[in-house]
Amino acid sequence: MSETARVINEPWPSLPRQREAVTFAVWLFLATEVLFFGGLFLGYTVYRWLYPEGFLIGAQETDIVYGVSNTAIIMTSSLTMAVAVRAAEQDMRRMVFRCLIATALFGLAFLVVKGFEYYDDIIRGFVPGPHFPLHQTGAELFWTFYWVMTAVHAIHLTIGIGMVATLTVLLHRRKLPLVSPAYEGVALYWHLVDIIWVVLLPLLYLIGRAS
Amino acid sequence: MTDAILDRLPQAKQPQTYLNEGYTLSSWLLTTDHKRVAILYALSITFFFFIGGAAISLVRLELISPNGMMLTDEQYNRLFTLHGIIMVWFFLVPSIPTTFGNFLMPMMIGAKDVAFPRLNIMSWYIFVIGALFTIYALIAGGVDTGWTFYTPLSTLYANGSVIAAAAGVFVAGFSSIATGINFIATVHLQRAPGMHWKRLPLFVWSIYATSIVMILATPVLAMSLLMIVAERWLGMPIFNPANGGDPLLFQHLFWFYSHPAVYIMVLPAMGVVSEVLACFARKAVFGYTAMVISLMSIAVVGFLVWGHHMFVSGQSQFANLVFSFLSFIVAVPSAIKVFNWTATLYGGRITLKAPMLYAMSFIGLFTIGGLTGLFLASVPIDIHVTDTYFVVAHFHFIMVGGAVSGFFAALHFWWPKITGRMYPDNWARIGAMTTFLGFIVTFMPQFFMGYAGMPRRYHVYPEQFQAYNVVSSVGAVILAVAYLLPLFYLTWSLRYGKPAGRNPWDATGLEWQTTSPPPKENFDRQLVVSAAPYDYENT
Amino acid sequence: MSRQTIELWKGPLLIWAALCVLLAITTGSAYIPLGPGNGLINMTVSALKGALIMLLFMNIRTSSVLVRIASAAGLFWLTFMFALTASDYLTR
Repeated sequence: MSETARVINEPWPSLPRQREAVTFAVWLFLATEVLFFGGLFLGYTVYRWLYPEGFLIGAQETDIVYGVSNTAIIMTSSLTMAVAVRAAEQDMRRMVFRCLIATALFGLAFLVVKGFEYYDDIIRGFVPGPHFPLHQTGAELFWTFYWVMTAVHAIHLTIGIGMVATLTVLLHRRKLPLVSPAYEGVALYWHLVDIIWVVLLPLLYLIGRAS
Repeated sequence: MTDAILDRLPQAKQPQTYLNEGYTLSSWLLTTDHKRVAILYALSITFFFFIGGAAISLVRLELISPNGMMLTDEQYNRLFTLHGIIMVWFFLVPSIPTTFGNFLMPMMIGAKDVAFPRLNIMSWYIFVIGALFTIYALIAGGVDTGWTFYTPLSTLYANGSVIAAAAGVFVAGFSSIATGINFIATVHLQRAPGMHWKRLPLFVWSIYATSIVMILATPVLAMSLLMIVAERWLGMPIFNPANGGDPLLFQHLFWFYSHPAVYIMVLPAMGVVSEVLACFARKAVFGYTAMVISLMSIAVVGFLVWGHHMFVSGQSQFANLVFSFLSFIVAVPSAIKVFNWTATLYGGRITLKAPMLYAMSFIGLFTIGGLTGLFLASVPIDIHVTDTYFVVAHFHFIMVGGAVSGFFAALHFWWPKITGRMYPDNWARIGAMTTFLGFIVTFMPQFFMGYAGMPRRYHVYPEQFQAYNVVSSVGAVILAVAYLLPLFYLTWSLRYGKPAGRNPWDATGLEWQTTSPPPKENFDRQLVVSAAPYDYENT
Repeated sequence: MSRQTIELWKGPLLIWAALCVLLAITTGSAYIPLGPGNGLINMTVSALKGALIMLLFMNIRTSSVLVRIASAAGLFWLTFMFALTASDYLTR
């Protein structure tokens, strides 16, 4: 069976049509993700508007080293993911393989750094609840948004790592030819997770540094 | 030869349909055929319809007495909450799209299936998982927050399985999103040659518009529920005023979804009405372009009006004005549709079969519901009737009088196509008329008692409202009978109904060009479309 | 390293380098007290980075009209949410 024939699903008459459909559908899904995180951004915006002081004080307690390191890591993972897709288009199987693995590893590195960061945050007591150390109104709310936003992002990243790992395994077993739209589909999702972090960085780590 | 004799011939060749392609359980549970997925959804939502109906039957029974009879306050609150959650998310939102949308939309555009058949069956499994969470919540005692989950009641004070219920709705939301993405991709990329956008049946347009709303609104609901879980389960303050939280933030996020959600519930029914009216008036739908623009306008403008649910919650006066104004605007395209349906009927050759009766019920009841929506869009009136039965009546006129009538119109119009059998029309018409009667008796008094001050969600109420409540409860009994009736004659028709043939209604539309029930691939050849929809002048 | 490999990596590496420069700008400027200027710079840089990733990594620049509309839908719809919610909070 030709590669194309292995990859085409019902009811698509041709691979280009199916690729178009997958790209379109994934972007529609990304739109839903934008609105999903959008709810959190709205909440953040509202409370920052209401409690600018409290937010600044809360934000000064995030660790910028972790934040910036993770930004660099996730941006680099987007690089390797983008190259993987380009390599797939060029039928460069080994390059795709290496880039997918690199992407997954960068993703895992992000989670590891995040894990250390969460541990530090917990040790220092910055978990919203009855024992929260900062008392200005808004500081605790900031930290709720910090936890929820980064956790939801981390869950999305984990799912992304799972998908990249799946692609890698299927590619290794020669079950997913490089012409499949799945590579681009997963990449689009991965880049969105990167973009979301890029927006989270200034909101959570870069405010309150100059005072 | 009659069909009966043909059936008894030893070598009677059974045509291959989507129903007899395979009889095993796994051929159903692992299907990728959009028609079978539709049936799976239909069974699920019917189950939930009767659960939600049972809950409210107990409520209406209880409301006969102003002081309560058999339920505690807690139980009462849990029953109306259950009714709302189940009816909204496990019946109405999926109803027409996942059943008739799934079954018919691909056929109406001349496609073999939806864009992503495996995503389709997965969406059903996601729905089932969400349903299981909700059933767990129900068995564990239920939730008493109302289907609206307002904070800080839901996050700090409510007893009951709030988290399980929220989880159930959260998961079911992803089913919505998957379905919406699938449908949008299908309409864009799976149309048969010649099926231009301007030739699409209005039902397809309505499913398309609904899908856009589903995918853009549902994620915000998901986030609002996640925030509830974060506050309630993880103790992280988001809406708690003691920590500076604003309960209104929840309401903004919740209603950003839940207002468009009512359009998810009503737009498909509008699509059904257009199809049924054209067929039984033997006339093209009046003003096709205006109908399309109206559908899409309702879908978009419907996202701009959510604050009308918050006029008395503490929103600013300015926001009240903005949302009130936009709410008046959103009524305009709906009104245009009602005018165009009326114009479709005018000069038509009308036959009052069961689907037509349901479709005409929709027009009348939706109009009343819609007009009372305008009352509610007016801030001063809304302040007077907010949280009274006036609001309850308004949304039931739209959701039940409108959307459920549309669902039953679809059921009776396309039953022959889906099952290959005709049901007894006389019983169906009795059912339609009983539904209409039961509906009016149940819900009309609610406008008056609401205006007079009867609060919603109250277990115990002032004596002066008892007469209204009794009338309403009697109506509920009539409605219950009317809803149970189709279970009998439709089931009967599966075995004893007359074979339907390809086009028992002599309707236009590609779905009527193939056999009833259709074959797995929908059509026996690639269709090429050359006519406009609703070509009734030439039939 | 083959020609093909270099061609493969050239473009993306350039974009990645630009992203790194922007990261440095936004992080560095956060320590300079600019009042509302800090927020402005941060948001602008985020938007630029997002645009770079969307246009060049996610290939929006070379995608069909249909895909471009889908890619804009999320952000566009967010403006509804933010604008009308602002109409409440800004006027309380």
